Amino acid sequence: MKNLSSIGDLARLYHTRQSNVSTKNKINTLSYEATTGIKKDLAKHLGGNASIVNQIEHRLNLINTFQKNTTEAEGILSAMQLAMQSMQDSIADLGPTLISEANLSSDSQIDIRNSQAKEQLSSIIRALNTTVAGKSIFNGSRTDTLPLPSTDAFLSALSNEISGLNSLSDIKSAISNWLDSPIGAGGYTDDLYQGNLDPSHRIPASDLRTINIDTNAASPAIKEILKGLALYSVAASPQAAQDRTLQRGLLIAAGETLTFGNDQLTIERSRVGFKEEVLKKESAQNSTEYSALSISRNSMIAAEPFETALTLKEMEGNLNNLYALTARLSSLKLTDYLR
Amino acid sequence: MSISLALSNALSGLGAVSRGTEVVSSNLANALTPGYGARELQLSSRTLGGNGGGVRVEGIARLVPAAILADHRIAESSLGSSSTLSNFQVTIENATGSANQSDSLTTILGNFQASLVSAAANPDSDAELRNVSESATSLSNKINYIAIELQKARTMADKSIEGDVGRLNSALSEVARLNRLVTIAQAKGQDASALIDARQATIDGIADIVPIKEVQRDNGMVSLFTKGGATLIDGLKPAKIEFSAAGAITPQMSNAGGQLSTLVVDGIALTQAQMNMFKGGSLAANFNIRDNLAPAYQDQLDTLAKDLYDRLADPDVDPTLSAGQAGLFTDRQAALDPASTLGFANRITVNNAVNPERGGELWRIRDGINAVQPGPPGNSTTILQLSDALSFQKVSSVPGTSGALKSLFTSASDLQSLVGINRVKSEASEAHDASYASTMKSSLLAHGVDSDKEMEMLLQLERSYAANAKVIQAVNDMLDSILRIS
Repeated sequence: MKNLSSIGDLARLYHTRQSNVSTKNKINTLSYEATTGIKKDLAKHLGGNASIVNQIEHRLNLINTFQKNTTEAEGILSAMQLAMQSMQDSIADLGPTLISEANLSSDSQIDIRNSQAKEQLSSIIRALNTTVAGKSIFNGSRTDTLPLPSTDAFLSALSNEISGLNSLSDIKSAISNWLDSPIGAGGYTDDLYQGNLDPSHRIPASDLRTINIDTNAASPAIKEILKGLALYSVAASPQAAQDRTLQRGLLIAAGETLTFGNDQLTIERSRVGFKEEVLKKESAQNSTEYSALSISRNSMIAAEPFETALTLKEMEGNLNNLYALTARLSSLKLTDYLR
Repeated sequence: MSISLALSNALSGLGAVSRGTEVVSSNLANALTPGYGARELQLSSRTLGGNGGGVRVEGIARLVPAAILADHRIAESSLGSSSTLSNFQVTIENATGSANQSDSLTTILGNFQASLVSAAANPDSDAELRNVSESATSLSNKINYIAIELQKARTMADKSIEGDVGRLNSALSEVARLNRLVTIAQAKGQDASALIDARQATIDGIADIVPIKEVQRDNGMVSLFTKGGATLIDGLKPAKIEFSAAGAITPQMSNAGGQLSTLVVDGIALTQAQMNMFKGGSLAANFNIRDNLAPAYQDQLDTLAKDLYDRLADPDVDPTLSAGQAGLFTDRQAALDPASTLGFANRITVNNAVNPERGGELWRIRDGINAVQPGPPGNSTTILQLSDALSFQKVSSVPGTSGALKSLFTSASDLQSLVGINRVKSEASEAHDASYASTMKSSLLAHGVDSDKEMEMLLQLERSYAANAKVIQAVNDMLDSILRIS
């Protein structure tokens, strides 16, 4: 007799058990997706696009780092601007004042003016020795030392350079050579200035843009100002007071150099200002890119909440039906009817 | 005499009904036993010297659909194979991590790159340099970890093969024993159904190891062959299958190199081509994992590790290095010999020269591996070069991927993605095989015991018994009335 018309008991049991397990698995997955908002099995959901999500997350990570860097760079550059501002406040008017006083003032007025020479020099040196978070900003990459030693050290090095010189042109060229001498020639850059000529910071602000911060105490503009102040200091020395003609000549030379130096410093400040502009632009672009990538990434991995909730409800319904069915079917037995 | 014939017929009826009830009771008792073949009583009418009458019990038939059983076993072996492979892929995907996970290979590599970019802005900060050192260590640790998991998977596959072979051998000797008992029982005219049930269950138990074909032999014996043609048991003689596991497996160990073995059948070690006879079940899948899949991943991982090593060991990137020296990453603190790239992923470590806990100095990250003293603290040139070296697009030499220009991150991301895709593919395969196996099993179970049918049968048997008993009573009364005459 062929078994075409009977179905084994175990078949139904097996079948309901399988349905139960598979429905419960689906419910587990959907619950996870509903609570976290992210698809549980990302590799399956993304197919071959998992690589793209990886790249996006990498970019987001890097952009965060770039933004942190730009914030730091902005801090350093604005500290630089402040220091250079204070330098300009000191010497902007000094140049023309010295020239006019040399031509018009009396000796005693000049003496009064000269008494401020050392203070002027000190305030410039202080500005150059500015630190941010304990690190020098005008010392090249030697951020762990200060660019210039004390005012007295500067002055004694200066007097060494001009000892024995008496004429205006000799003094002018001695000071010029001392400050302008290149590295290795034993002048200001080697002996007095403690730093180097490398950028003090090279800050990656984006993939393509690394900001080099390279203004330091050996920049041409700064050296011009130091030349002017050196001439001024020599003019203010007691020895110069003995030769009033020389003294006035030195004051005029100081005034001219300081005026020129002030212009150079303005140019240097606008260079730094340009870097600040670039930083702002990079920062804004980074921000925009970050938002766009975030949205893109979320749309790729997010589990749409409405769809998830709907499917979850459906699965719950299925499970309920399964339970009801199992209960019903299990009561359908011939044995019960034979009582 | 007709009356005695009637009596004899009725008695045969009673006997048949008793036997039938025995069959029904056995079926009902075993309604929930998987692997039990539903029994059916086979009756035919009796012929006695040309005069008909009475019923004869031909025997007990075991109703198992052979074709469905065979298909079911093949489906089990396919499932055994695909679930073994799928488990392997899941393990490896867990080791590498996947998109959007904070401990995935790509995230850890990304963090290392970000640490360099951040340190470039603050090369004088110990905290930043330490971050570089630590994230580099995390990266090398992760690569080591994935490599270890690969070798663990191979070791486990090897052990599983040993276990499967053990199971196979004991099952085959059991089948041989049952074959003998079935032959004896049938020769004695006894019902061998229970023995055949046991034999079927034994064979079902090893269906996931290899795809099995069962062939009926004389005298109730069966022979078993693999689908690929190897003889597992012929009548009373099982094949002797041996395998020796290798213990802990390292990347350098392989079958080609002689450190890992194949199956030994009846004393002969099988070649790779002969191993095809055993393909299709979990046994072949484990060999595949041990000899092909895991080594392929190992190769890709080794190449990726070498790329990382090479990019940072370049004297153009770190001028303190001479050609051929290890840079930030080393081969256990030595330079990597290109000829021994195999297993490099297990050996890559961060140079002790930059690790303060191992006698190194953090400033070497900034000033170069071979720097003897700290340089200007604000100098980020080398750090920027390290960072650029990682994002530089080189032709990728990772096998199995396109030879396009890639940054290191892209290479790593592609490898991680590939692992994910393989896992999804193998799970899809497994789901498909599972669904087919489930269908086959349902069909098989549908041919099992139906208690409703047995209850109906029981009703019929009750009535039949009553009817035959009535006949006997009637005959008895008839005989009585005849005998009362005297």
